This record gives sequence, structure tokens and C-alpha cells, in this order.
Amino acid sequence: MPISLCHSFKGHKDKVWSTSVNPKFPLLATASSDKTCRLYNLNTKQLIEVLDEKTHKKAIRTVDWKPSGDYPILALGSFDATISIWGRENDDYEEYTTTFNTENKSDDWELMAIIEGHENEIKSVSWSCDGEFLSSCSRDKTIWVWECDETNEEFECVSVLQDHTQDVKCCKFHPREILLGSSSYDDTIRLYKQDIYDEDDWCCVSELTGHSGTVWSIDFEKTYNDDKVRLCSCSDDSTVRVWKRLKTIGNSKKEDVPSTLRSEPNSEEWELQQILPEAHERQVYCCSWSPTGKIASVGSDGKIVIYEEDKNNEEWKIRDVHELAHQVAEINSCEWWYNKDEEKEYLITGGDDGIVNIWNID
Amino acid sequence: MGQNKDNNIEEEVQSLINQYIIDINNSNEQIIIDLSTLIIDDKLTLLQFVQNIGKFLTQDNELMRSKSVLLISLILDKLPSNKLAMKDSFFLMGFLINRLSDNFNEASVGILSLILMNNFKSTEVIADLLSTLKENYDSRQLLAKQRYVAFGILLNLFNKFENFILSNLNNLFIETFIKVSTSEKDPRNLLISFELNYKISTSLDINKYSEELFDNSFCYFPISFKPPPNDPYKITSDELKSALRKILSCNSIFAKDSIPNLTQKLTSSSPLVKADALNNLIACIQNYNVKTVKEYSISLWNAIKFEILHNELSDLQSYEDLIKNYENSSNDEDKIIPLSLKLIEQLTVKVTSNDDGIEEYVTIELIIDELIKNLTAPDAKYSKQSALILASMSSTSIKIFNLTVAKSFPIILLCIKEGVSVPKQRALIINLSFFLYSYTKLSQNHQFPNNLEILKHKDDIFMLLSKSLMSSSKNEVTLRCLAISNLFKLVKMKDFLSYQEANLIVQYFTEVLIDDTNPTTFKEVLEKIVSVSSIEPKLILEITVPQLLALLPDSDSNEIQKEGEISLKVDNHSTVKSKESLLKILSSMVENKEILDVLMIRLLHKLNTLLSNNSSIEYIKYLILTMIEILTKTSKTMENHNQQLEIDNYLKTFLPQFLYLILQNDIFHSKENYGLLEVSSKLAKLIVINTNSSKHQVIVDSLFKIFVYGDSSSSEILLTRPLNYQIKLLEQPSNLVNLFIKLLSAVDKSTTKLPVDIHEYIRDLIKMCQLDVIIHEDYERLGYLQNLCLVIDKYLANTNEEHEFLSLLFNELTEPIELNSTAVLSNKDLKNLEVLAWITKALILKNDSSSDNYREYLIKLLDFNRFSSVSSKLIEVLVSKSEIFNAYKKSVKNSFGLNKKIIFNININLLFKQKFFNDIIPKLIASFNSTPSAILKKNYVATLSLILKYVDDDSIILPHLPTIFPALVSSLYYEPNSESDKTIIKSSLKIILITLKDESSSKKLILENIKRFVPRFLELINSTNDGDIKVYCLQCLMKLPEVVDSATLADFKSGILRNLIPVLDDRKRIVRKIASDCRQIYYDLA
Amino acid sequence: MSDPINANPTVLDVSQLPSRVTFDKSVNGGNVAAIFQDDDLRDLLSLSLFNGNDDMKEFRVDPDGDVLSMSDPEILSVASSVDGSSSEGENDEDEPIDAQEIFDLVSTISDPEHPLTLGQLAVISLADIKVLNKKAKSEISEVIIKITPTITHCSLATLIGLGIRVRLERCLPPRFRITILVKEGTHQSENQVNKQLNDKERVAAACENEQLLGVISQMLSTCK
Repeated sequence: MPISLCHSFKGHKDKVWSTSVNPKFPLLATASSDKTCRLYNLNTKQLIEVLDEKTHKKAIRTVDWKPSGDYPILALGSFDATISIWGRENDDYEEYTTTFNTENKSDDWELMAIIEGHENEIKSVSWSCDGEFLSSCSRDKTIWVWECDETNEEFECVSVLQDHTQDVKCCKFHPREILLGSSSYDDTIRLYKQDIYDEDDWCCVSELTGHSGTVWSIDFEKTYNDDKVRLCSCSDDSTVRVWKRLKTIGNSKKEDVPSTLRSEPNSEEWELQQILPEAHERQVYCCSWSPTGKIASVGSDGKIVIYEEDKNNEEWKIRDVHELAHQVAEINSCEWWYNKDEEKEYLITGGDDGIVNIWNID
Repeated sequence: MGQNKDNNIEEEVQSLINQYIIDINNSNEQIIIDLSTLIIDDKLTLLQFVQNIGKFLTQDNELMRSKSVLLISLILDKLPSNKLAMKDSFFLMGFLINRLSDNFNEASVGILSLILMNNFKSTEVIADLLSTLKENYDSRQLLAKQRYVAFGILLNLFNKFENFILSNLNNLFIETFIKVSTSEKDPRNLLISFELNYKISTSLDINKYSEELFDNSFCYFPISFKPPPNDPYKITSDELKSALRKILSCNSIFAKDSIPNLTQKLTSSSPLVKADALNNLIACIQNYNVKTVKEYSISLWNAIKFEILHNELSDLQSYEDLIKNYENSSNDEDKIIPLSLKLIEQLTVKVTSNDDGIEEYVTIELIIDELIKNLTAPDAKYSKQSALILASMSSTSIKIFNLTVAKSFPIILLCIKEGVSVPKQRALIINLSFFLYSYTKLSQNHQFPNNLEILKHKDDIFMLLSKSLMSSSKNEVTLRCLAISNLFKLVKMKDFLSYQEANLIVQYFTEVLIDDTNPTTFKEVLEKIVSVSSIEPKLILEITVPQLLALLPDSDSNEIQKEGEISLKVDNHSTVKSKESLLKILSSMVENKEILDVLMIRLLHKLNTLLSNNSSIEYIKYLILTMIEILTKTSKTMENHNQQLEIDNYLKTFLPQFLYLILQNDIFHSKENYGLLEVSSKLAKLIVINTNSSKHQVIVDSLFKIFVYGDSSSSEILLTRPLNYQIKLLEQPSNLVNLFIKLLSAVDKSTTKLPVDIHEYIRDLIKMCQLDVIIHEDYERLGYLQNLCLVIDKYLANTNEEHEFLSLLFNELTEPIELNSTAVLSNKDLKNLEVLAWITKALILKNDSSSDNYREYLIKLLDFNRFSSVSSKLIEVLVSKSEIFNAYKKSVKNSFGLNKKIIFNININLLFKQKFFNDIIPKLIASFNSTPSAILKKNYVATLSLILKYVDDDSIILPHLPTIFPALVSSLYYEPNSESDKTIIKSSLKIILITLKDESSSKKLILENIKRFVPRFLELINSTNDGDIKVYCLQCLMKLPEVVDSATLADFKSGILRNLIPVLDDRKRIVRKIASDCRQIYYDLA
Repeated sequence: MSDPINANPTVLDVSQLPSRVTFDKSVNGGNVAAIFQDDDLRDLLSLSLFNGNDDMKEFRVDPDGDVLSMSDPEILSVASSVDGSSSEGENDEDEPIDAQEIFDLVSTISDPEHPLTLGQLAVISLADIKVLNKKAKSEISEVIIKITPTITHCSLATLIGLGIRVRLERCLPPRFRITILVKEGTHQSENQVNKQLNDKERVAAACENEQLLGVISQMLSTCK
């Protein structure tokens, strides 16, 4: 069951850095160096909107849909050190199921907010599972956590995390827990949590070392049982690794002792579960964990690699490799899309050739 | 009448004076001029003027007093130098001297003007002037231009009263000068100060003041003056430097101060300072007297020797490199060694000169003995440096040369005896080469006695160099190149080598040339052999040429044709050189006619052997091409020295045998490869071109005898022996017609005429051109067509009688052709049209008046569908290039006896193409625009693009640009698959490029079409596989930013950059290069 | 720019720099066929009305890219127009991208600190360029360049590396992966510099930074 191309979106005029699939609506957002974000209807594969070139002066590096809220909202992070928030208010689900023609769309996507704060290029943005927080990271070595009000127009900085010693490449919220992960140029992965008593006090609960090169991106496992929390990471050292959380210390509600008095600090213990079989020859830029438990990784060598875990002995092996997925171009992003109607998983990749591809995996 | 005239002058003078003095801020020039003209016209005597001004002079208002003195000075400045009487100038000088104390500036201007007056001769006042000047001069109060006046006074005083000053005011003048010149900073003043210092130091008695005068100048050393940007006086730092140098070196008395100070400056780390100090020391040594120089010689030597000894001179391989490097290098670093050597040379010359009667070599021998201690081992410490110093000393005179060689050579050459390692050999050769340089330098202006010391060591030197070259391994490249360049020096050195020795060296060079495959060594030895061939051609002719020729195989039929490299086994040593490289080497050696003549004959014999051993066509062709190359090269070199290559003797020694070989060997007539016949005909033509025109009629007669009448029996010039067959070009077609026309096109048109009736001959040629049997023999038929065209161009007179004949022909040819019919063109029609075209070409070439109807007819054909397949080809014939019609010039004496270059071999009007274009282009465009038919439209454009292919001088097309442009641009959109469509597209692109390059017309034309052009260029680049079209499109894109403003281009920018990505991977490197340059331009667009 | 940190680097002479010598094969065994390319003859025969192939003669590409010259009958001095110098003939094999081409692209970049090029300063040398050029253009190929900074603590190494990367990314087809490394042992913070030079994202960001882009286009302005 080889990987096969299902569809290509060819609108962007420059490299595509990142894509994001809306969890509720069949909407795909793609961010590119041509300073635009294109929105597509995943069912009809139609272009819905191009979020304009005027907002951002430089390349748009990252995009992420807000998981909650009754109408679609997304955040765009750009090299011009600003984040823009867009949304389309009285939108409803039906509109997207029918063959959606763009002419009669009543009102346009609206720029709801511009968030400033970072000193230089923003590398990644990620909403928390409940949509309450938005995290952003930048070359200025910091990760900012913003609290978003209901109007999605006010964003207040809750905490600035400065644990990384170098350019922070990726920040990602856990799909269910309020747990934030990040990876950086300093070859490390870090995890952060809110202090139970002081909402605004986020702190680093764990640092994962082992990679011997920039860690370009991480993604959490999408399972539903609480005690099994895992993430995958990919790096310059061309390896993809899976990490497992062993236990969390000092943060359980039961010992309701104020944090300042507690003996051990709020922390978690993680452990490398496995370095996945080597398939990439160069930098690996993105990895993504599918709802059904598969991991995908893409990189500079133009390959898509799909890994699968042998359930009983927790041993990962390569399920499939697809070479030159964007011809000779490097591939910058990969993301799973679970098509509810077809109950089928697709993989979406974006590359330096400015093309976004949808792949059939099985 | 005179009286009142006087007193109204009186009033006028008074009012002018009042006006000038009272109105403090009005120093207008006009008053000065009016007053001075009054004096000049004798309307006012100077005395009256001073009296009028008198009252102001005694005013207590200080400003009025100074303005009145200034008025006097300015008036004096305006007066001509012969105006003042003696006593007036004396009186005024005294007056102004008294004024110096409180109006220094104003008075000094007047004093300067007075000194310059012819009849200011009163010497008695000078002492008073000097002492007052010395007393009142305070540089801190004065501006630069005021101090300049003070210097002017001193300089003019000195120039006018030098002897008086010398005898009576010597000390006072010097003291005044020192007062005025101390701590002067202004460059202009400095120049005068230096000049004065030099004059004083050379003419006055400066014993008492030598330290002061020295300090006064040396304080400025080293001069690092950067002229201000808009310096009115344009003073350069070199001017100041040489003025200062003149002072320091002008008087031996300074020696006690200058030499120690300058040698101390040698230790400075800045090369600039060091070089300046060296230059000064050299000047001192040259100018100071012998006694003084001898006194300081040892201290100078000890100061200078380490400049050279402590420099490892690591990559110095010869004295010549050192000098070459010194002459054309800009940084001072390279100047230190050469200057140090020059200093030692000057020291040697001075110390041994017998100015003071005794020729004293003690010092020199001291130095030599000190140096030769370092020579024991060639690569020892200081050995190279010592040899260099000794060589430079020995280049000063034969006596020293002998002295040095006698002392040093025995030691230098000692180590040869017991065999020397390669590094030692290299060092030894370099050390010796310095002395070879001295020998050459001395031989330029000295007559060598026969007992020259170095000659005793000639054999050792010769042995060392020969062994280093001939018995060293081939990968000792540096050693071998050193040996080669120094052996060559020996050959060049006047009366050094015997003939046998030079002969032996050339023999060595030849062996290395043949055997050594290392490119560096090969290049060096070839270069030296070529140089030898220009100074001693006999050596090359006797040794090198025969050996190379011997290596040339007599046939290549048995060789295995490896990729160009054929190893030839020739008696014992094989050479890896291929026959092509042997021929290439031979041709590079032809530097003059002497070698040319020998080589041409030898190659001809080789050609003969090749033919008898049935060698390959390529090999024969290459040999003939080599002959063409050396003939052309020699003719060009001679022309550069405005001589004319004359090879009349070749008509006897070369041409007959060459033509006999061609005509008698059927390899030359083979159908598959006309190239051989073409190349051989070119050589034959070249020879005739370079012979005297007086011999050309005989050639023409023989040509017709052999080629037309088939009679080669009494051929005199062109054949050594009769042929065993007959050539009758007018009866039986043969591609030898091409040889015939090459020779016919070479002869001088003014000294030859056809030995046949021209009309008959033309008709016969037309008959041959139209023979069915050669319809498909293009090379033959085109030979006859060109023959027809050549004869009409060269020999058909431009007279009415001939015009009738031409119009007769025109009718005969055109009458049978049905213009309006739609039938396919018959062969008959095509034959007529072809003949018509070539006749028209001849008439157009010489701009014959009867060319009009011929030309109009051919152009008219374009309007008929029936002729669309051939009409553009017919037009192309008219402007096409063919070797037959290459015009050659010869210099000939014109009526005034001046040498003028005229075209002698064909009739050609240099503007024929311009005229043709101006005529046809408007017609083509008009028809293009008017005709509805797409086929005809395309035909017009095809014809236009064909013509444009033959345009190399853009100016011809520029006037037509506005009309051509639209037509061609529309044709840009044909699909470039057929060849003719490709040509059309290329022409359109060419037009666009020309428009882009020509400022005047381009802007509007381009801007209108830019929206269509850019996408089409990109489309063509990414669709065609035709390299030329891609390059053209890229060039157009590159030129756009120069014509179109970047605002309009901005929205194309990203599209261009993106679409030019695939072509970066083009299979041709040149296309990739242009593509990346093009993209770089668009990246840099604002 | 503060006064140059490395005031006097050793400077190579331009003529010493490796250049694509179209090796004059004719000196050591010429390419025989080329000499027999009778362009004039072919041009002449194309004029025939009957079977002169329709093929119009090719233009000849003038390497330095000027408007092509199709000379009319030359007016020559007595020296004839030997066409021995006829072009090398249309050899049409492909000319793959090789180390020399990469060297030619980058050696004329000017050093930000000295008025000299990277070739003259021996920051780049032919031997330090490796090209792994896959035959098929649809596959990914690699270029690895090792640079030698003029002095070991040269702060401009990253800027020089960036200049080289921008130049190559603009001139090479996208199938090439460019790796720029500092030569082992020639720079104190070797790994740090290598990491920065090969982080595609930071390079992309740098190319959008006005001030930095200004410096880079200055460095590239001397490229010939």
C-alpha cells in the first residue's frame, strides 16, 4: 500500500513553511514565504480565501487553527516578529459541506488582532487544547504564552519562558492536557506547565536532551488515556525520536500545599523510548503523530517516511517511504488530516516548491 | 588750459585717494586701476602721488596709515617694471622699509614690486631691508599668502643680487632666510623655501650655518603630504620630496648630518620612509665629493647590507624579475631591495672613481671579501643575497666585474666538482644568473676585452646548465626551467658563446621540446625556441625544424586513431606529440620570412610524400592549414612593421609544384570532401594575393590555358609538368572550377584582363550553370555561378554597351518566367532565377547602375505566392558572404607619392549593403503591412530575418528600426520548430536587442510591448532547445532594466526570477552563466 | 567598518586562480575533427536553390554574449581571412555542473573587509569544493564547500558563508543541496559557524533583513 498523491494545491508563489487543518471545519490553512496564507476547503479542494500580503512584511512561517470556538479562528506567525489572528464570524458548518462557491460568501475573513512582543522572527505558534492559551516562539530564544479573551481580539501575555539558550524552533500544546512542549536550535526539547496555584506562573518541568543537532519540531501522541503521554521529535541529526513521560512530581492537586512551601519543584520525568529506524539522510524538518498512532516525518532529502509501532513490544518500524515527494524540493511540513466523512487518514505536506500535497497513506 | 587741466587732475587724484582710504570697507580695485593709469600716462608723477597721500601717512588713525601704505604698494604692483626712475625706486624703498615695523604686510607687497623694477639697483639699501625684515618677521602673525610675499622678497633679491650678497651680505642673508623659513608649513611656501635653501647651500658660504640649514630642511623628512582636494596650486608630494632631496644632497658639508640621519631612518618599519631615505642617500652619494663618500663608505655599507642580507628573497629567480617587479609595482615594499642595490652600485662607482686622482679599490675589495665568505655553499645563509650584491656591484664597470668574478667564481663553482643535489643546483644557477645579468647590462655600453674573467669559467657554467637540463629527471620542472631560461641568456649574451656552443644549446632545446610532456617545461622551452628563432633563425632552421619535420609521419594510414594522441616511434626516442601538435609547434616558430620560406618548401615536400603514401584527408588538410597559418602570421607581423610580404619567387618555387600535386591527385577532387579542395585553393589564392601585380596577367593567361582550353603543355607559371588529362571547364563540368575562381579572384583587377571575349565567356558560363547534370552538384554549380558573378563584377565594364548586354541577358532570363501562373516552378525557371540572382549580386557589389531592374525584379517576386519557396533565398544570395568576394588591400603610391591602401582584387562599393538595405527594407515592411495573405506575410518576415543575419554593423538597421520593429515583433510568436521559423525568431530577438542597445528609439518601442515581451521571452527560454534563442532572450531580459524604469519592471521581477530557475540547469554552461547573470540583475533591482 | 581586523592577508594573483582552461588540445594532440569544420563551405552550399537544405545556417553564439556578428565580406588587409580559427564546432555533449563552475561562481565574491575577492584571499579554493552531481536532473545532488577564513577568530566567517550560500542558491538549480563548512581547525568556533551557515530557516530570514541584504548584494556586486 504505497503512499500516493491525492491532490496538489499549487497557489503559493514561494516556499510553503507550514500547514494547519481545522479540527472542526474541513479547512486547510497554508503559510508561505510569499507573505500570504491560503485557505482551502478540504472537501471541494477549492481556494476559499487568500489572507492578504499587506498584513505581514515578511514571510509567514507558521499557522495554527484555534481548536475551540464556534467559528474558525487561526493564528499566523511571521518573520516580521508579529502574530496575526484571523476569523470569520457567522460561519456555519453546512456552508462547507455543500459545494461551496466563493462568490456568495457573505462576509470576508477578518483580521481580528495583531500581537507584538517578540524581538525577531516568529518560528511557531500553537493553541492550547481548550483554545484559552496561544503559545509563540522566536529566534529571540523566548516562548510567550498569551491568554485569549472570548472576543479573540485581546491577547494578554501570561508568561515569557526563557529556558532555551538558542532560537526556539517549535512550540506545541498537548492535544488534551495543558502541557506545552518546545524544541530549539540548542538541540533540546523542553516541557512547560502552569503552576496549579498560580495560574500565570508557567515553568519548565522537563528538559529532553539527546539530539545532536537542532530539533526542528515535536508532536504529541493523540491517545485518550491519561497516563500514557508521549511525543515525537525530529532534528538536524536526521533522526526521529519518541519520548515517553514516566511520572510527574509535585503537581498533583491532592497535596494542596502552596507551591512556595512544597519540597520538590513542579517537574516531570521523561525518557527516550526509541530512536526510530534511520530513513532520512539529511535534516528532518517536521514530524507529526496521527490520531491512529502512526508517525510521519519529512525533511531536506525530499522523503516522506511513515513509522508504525508494533503494539505488543512497543517497537517502532518503518511502514513506508516515499521519495522525491516534492520533486527535488525540500519538504518543510507534514500534518495528518483525519477525514471524518471517509474515516480515513491523509497526510498533508508543504515544500520549498510552493506546493501543498495531500497523500493517501493506506 | 594745461593749468586747470592739472588741478582738476589734482582734485580727481585727491578724491580717489580719499575715497580709498576713508571708506574702510571699500578696497575696490577700480581706484587702484584709475590711479595707476594716471601715473602710467604720466598725468601724475609718483612724487605728486606720494605727496597727496602724505597727509594720511601721518594720521594717528592706525587703520588709515596702513591703508595708505597698502595703496602705495598696490599702485607699485600695477606699474610696469620700467616705469620708475632709479631715485624714485630708491626713495620709495627706503620709505617702505621704515613702514615694515608697523605695517609689515602692506609694505612687504610694495617692497616686492620695487625689487622687480628694472632700475631698482641700489644695493646699499638691501642690508637695511634684510635686517628690518629679519627683525620684524613673525610667522605667527602672518597668513600663508603674506609669508609667501616675504619668501618672494628673499628669492628675488637673491636672483637679482647674488654676487653682491655673496660678497657682502652672506651671513645676514642666510640668517634672514633661516628666520623667515623656520617652521614654515604651507606647501607653496615650502617649495620656495626649499628652492632658496638649495640656492644658498650651493652658492653662498654656509660653513657657519651648515647645521642650521640642514635642520631647517631635514625636519620635514619624511614628507607625507596629501594634497587638499581642490588644491589651486596642484602641488604634489613628489615635488616636495625631490626639492628636499636636492638640498640634502647638494653640498658635501651636510654629510656629517645627512648620512647618519638618513641611515638611521633606514631602520623605520614603514617601507615608504625606508624607500625615501634610500632615494636620498643615493642622491647624496651621487652628488657629494669622492672624499666625503669615501669617508662614509664603510658606515654606509654596514647600514645597507642587512637590507638585502636579511631578506630571504625566497621566490626571486632572476635579476630581471627583480627589476620588472620594481618598475611596475605600486607598493613600496618591492622598491626596497632594488633601491638598496642601486645605492651599493652608486657607492661602488663613487668610491672607485678617480676624481681625486687615486683609483682606490681597498674599500671595494673589503666588501667583496666579506661577501664571498657566504658563497661556499649555494644554498647557505646569505649566499643568494651576497651573489646578488656582488652581481650588482660588478655591473658598474668591467674592472670591478673582473675583480668580483675572479674572487667569487672559484668559490661559487667549487661545489660542482663533487656533484650537487637538485636544490643546490637550483640555488647555484640562480646565483650565477645574477652575474649573467650584469654581463648583459655591461655589454650594452662597454666594449669587452677578450681577457674577460668570466670567460675562464664559461665551460663550467655551460656544463652546469646543460647537465641541469639534459640529465635531470622530467619532474624537476623548476630546475629544468631555470636551466632553459639561463641557457637562453647565454645565447643572447654578446660574444660569449661560440657558434658550436649555441648550436648545442638549440639542440638541447629541441630534444626537450620533443620529449618533455610537462606543460610548464614545454611552454618555457617553446617560448625560448621562438625567441631564438627571431635572433638566430639559422640555428632553428638547421637544428629544430629538420628534427620536427623528421618526426612528422610520412603517412598516418597505419596509426591507430586514438583521441588525437598518436605515439610515433621514430628511431630511438619516441615522442608522445601528435602530428597536430608538431605542426602547431612548427608554426609557432615562424617569426620572420627567412623561416617561412624554408618551412613552406619543406612542408610542400612533406605534402608530396603524404600524397604518395596515401595519408588521410584530415592529415593532408591539417598540413595545408598550417601552411596557410604561417603565411598569414608572417604577413601580419610584417604588416605591423608596415612592410609588405612579397613572395614572387613562390610563383616559381612553390605554386607550380603545389598546383601540380592538387590537379594530379584525385584525392583533391573527391566528391565526399570538398573541404580539401577548398583549403588548397585558399592557399593557392593566398600566394597569388601576396605577389606583385605585374605578374598577374601571365597567371590569368595560364589559368585559361589549363582550365578552359585543357592545354597544360606550355603552362610556365602554374604547373611544373603538363597534366596527364585535360580540364575544359566550359565543356565538361568539374568542381575544379572552385580552384579556378579562387585564383581568378586573387589577381589584381587593374593589371589583368580576360584572354577571351567576355560576352561569349559569360554566355558559356550561364550554359554551364544550367546544365541538368550538375543540378544536384551544389559545390560545382555554385562554383560556376560564382565564376559568373566574379567575372561580371571584376571585368565587365560599367559602360552603355555592357548595360545593353546586361539588359539583353535580363530579358532572356526573365521572359520565360510566368509571374502570375500558379504552376509549380520548373527546373528551368529555378535555373534562370539562380543565374539572375548571382548576376544581380555582382552588380550590387560594385553598385553598377544597371543593377536596378535586376534587383527590382527579385524583390517583386516576393509578392507572388508562386515564388514564396525561393524568393527569400534569392534575396539572401545578394547579401550572403563568400570567400571569393573577400576584398584585399595593397598599399600603392598615389599621385602625391603617398602610400595609400586600396582594394585591388575585386570591385566592391563599401556601402553596397547599406544602400541595399535602405532600398529593400521599406519595401518589405510596406508589403508586409499591406498584404492580407498570411503566407506572403511570413515570407516577407522570413526574407527580412535572412537579411538581418548578415548585418554586423547595427548602424545600418538603426534608421529602419521603427518600421522593422512591429513587423518582426509580431513574428516573435511563431513556434521555433522549423529552421526558418527559428531564424525569424532569432532575427526578431536580434532587432529587439539592437533597439534595447540604441538609446534614441528604444524607450517607446519597448515600453509599448513589454507586457507581451517578458512572458514570451520566458516561454521561449523554457520551451526551445536552441541555445542561440535562449541566449538572445536572456540578453534581452538583461538589457531591459537599462531601458525600463524599475517601477514598471517590479511586477515582472518575481515572475522572471521564478521562471529563470529551470534554465539554471541548462545543459550548456554558457547558457547557465548568462542565466545566473540575468537573475543577479533582477535580484539587485530596487 | 572598523579598521580591518586582518590588515594584511596573503593575496594570490588573479592569474594564479584556477580557471576553466579550454585546454588547447591542439598543442598536445588537437581535436582533429574540429579543425575541419568548414563553416564557410557549409554556408556557401546553403545558398543553392535546388537542394541547399532548408536548414538555414546556425547563428554562432558569441561566448561573451554580445549581439552576434555575421560579418559581410570582410575588408582585409593583405593577410587573408584564414578561417582556421573556425569555432570549435558545435559539440553538443552536455556540460555538467562541476567544481570549477562552482568556483567560478563564488571566487569573485568580494570580501566584506578587504577590497579583494574570496578567490584572491584563498578563502575558497578549487580543492575545497566537492560536487556530487547525480546524472539525472530529477534527483537531488549535493555541493559541499569548505571555506578557510583569513584569520582564526574571523567574525565575518558567517557573513562570508552567507554570501556564498545566497550566491549559489541564486545560481544553482534547486536540485542542489548546498552545505558550507569552515575548514577543520581554521576557526575557533567552527561548529557554531557551521551550524549557522546550514540552517536554511535562518538563511531565509537573513535574506529578508534589509541591512544584511545590503551587505550581501555589495559582496555579490563584484561577481563576474
